[in-house]
Amino acid sequence: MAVPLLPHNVVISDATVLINFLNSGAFQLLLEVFAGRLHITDLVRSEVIHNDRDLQIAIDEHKVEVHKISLEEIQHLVKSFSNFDEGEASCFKLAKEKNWRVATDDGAAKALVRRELGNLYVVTTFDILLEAVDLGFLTKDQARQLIEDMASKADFQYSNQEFGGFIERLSIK
Amino acid sequence: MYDYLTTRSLAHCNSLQGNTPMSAEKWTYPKYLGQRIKSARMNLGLSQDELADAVGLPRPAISQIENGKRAVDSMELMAFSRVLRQPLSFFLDLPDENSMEEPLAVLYRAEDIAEDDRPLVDDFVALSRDYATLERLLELDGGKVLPNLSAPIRTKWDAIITGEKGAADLRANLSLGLAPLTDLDRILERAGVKLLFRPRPGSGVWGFSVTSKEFGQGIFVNTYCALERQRFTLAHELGHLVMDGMHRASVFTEKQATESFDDGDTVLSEVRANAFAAAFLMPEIAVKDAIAKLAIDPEIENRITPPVVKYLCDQFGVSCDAMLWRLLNLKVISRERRQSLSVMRVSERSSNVVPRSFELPERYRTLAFEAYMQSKISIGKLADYLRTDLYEARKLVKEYHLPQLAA
Repeated sequence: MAVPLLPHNVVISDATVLINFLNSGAFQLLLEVFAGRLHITDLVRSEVIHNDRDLQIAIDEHKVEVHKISLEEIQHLVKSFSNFDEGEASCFKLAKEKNWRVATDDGAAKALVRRELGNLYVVTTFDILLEAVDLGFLTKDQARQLIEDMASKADFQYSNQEFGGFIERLSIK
Repeated sequence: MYDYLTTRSLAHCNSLQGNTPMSAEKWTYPKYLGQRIKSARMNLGLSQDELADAVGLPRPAISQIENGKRAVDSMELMAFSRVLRQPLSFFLDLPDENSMEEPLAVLYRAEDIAEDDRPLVDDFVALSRDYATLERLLELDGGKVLPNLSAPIRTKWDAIITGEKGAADLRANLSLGLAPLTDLDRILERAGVKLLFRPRPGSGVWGFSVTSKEFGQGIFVNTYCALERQRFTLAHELGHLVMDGMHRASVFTEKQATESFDDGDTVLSEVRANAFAAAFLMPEIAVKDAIAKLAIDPEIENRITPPVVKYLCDQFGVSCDAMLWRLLNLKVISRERRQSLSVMRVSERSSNVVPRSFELPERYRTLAFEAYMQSKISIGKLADYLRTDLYEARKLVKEYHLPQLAA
């Protein structure tokens, strides 16, 4: 398997990315791309309430590591990250402490991670699909189809600019 | 000290420094958390059994948690947050009784707000704070307040006259003319008043209002009443906001309204608020014009029949009670005629109780979506503001075609 070129291998995901992959039935792909390097917090886990069977199996099989956030930490997050929910805030806090990348599709979260950690620390659903194509897990057509599935089954919303960038990057692979 | 408190029960409150629910007890965290959970549960009308089922805990555990006798872990708290449709901050923001501003403290301690209705105040304060936060995020003028139209009152007559004058002045100030107000909610929202509508079956509280340094002016209306009653309550509390001078908080209850209409022992500010509401919703000239348009001579009181009253009620969006009192005060009908009309239209009483569902103010929702669109808040925070979960928030974003601006 190819080693991803991105600088920090461990990724902590918020619920936006998980929901995209879980609801479109592509969660195994996410696990394969990150191959044991996917982490979440228990707050994020509790935000994922639909189609979460695959996630729970992955947690039970230690393919996804869950970090427990204490009540005291939650209180701190509520005060420190007032424009984010606690799941998103807990991801960012861990990423900052451990120098991990953050998987998120949320605009405000991406802006925060880019501002505080740097551009390379943001991993979006589009990035993951492109990496899956790179790694040979998906064809370009399958990647494009998956985006459509995520839009229809997971209410994945993205701007024309983001989609345009994805298609452009896909075309040069 | 209490000359600017606006209800009798508030005037009967203990001294602000005295023995109060907020200060008498030590608000330890588990106890506070338990009270917040109970408060949110009651706001949704859930029993302990129903909440236990929804969060996957045994019922005795809910009882223990609500009484502060059992700790809650982060996962359980998330479950409570999801089921009870409140953001975690609702459960975690420890109240500081020393720093709680006076109007809120007064509202929390108002005797007219029964123990079972206190969750409404929690909900109202939490939503108003969120509202103000959104305004700040979007750099809007959240501190906008209605004009102060207060005037000294010593007698009941003063109260009626100043209430009526205040209503005319506010209509002029807001450029409302004399027409019936069909969209009072929006007019007030545009004027910067934060509104919260919630059905509260079995409660004697029709509404309350507060003027807060933290979030400005806000009105709660119990929607488990006929729409006409809701509108009158809104106008009544509006009267308090603009006419009470140093208004802090006021509560409008069924009991007060009955006493006020029936000439009972009423506080002058309540009389004034009722006079304000009546004149604001039913301006004298507009009412007389409406009667004239029916080719009825308002001087001949027997021409004011039940169908005429019904027509006027529909025109002005008020209850028959309110319209009959207004016609009496405008000397269009006599006291006896009011009484007989009141009896004649018994059959159409209790016709249109249309409780609104759990809904957030339209402007508030728009601000939340706008903050999300501008990447000032995340999708999870949008869900918090909309009192829903991440899935529903994503669906709404899609429904409204709101792709977030690329960051």
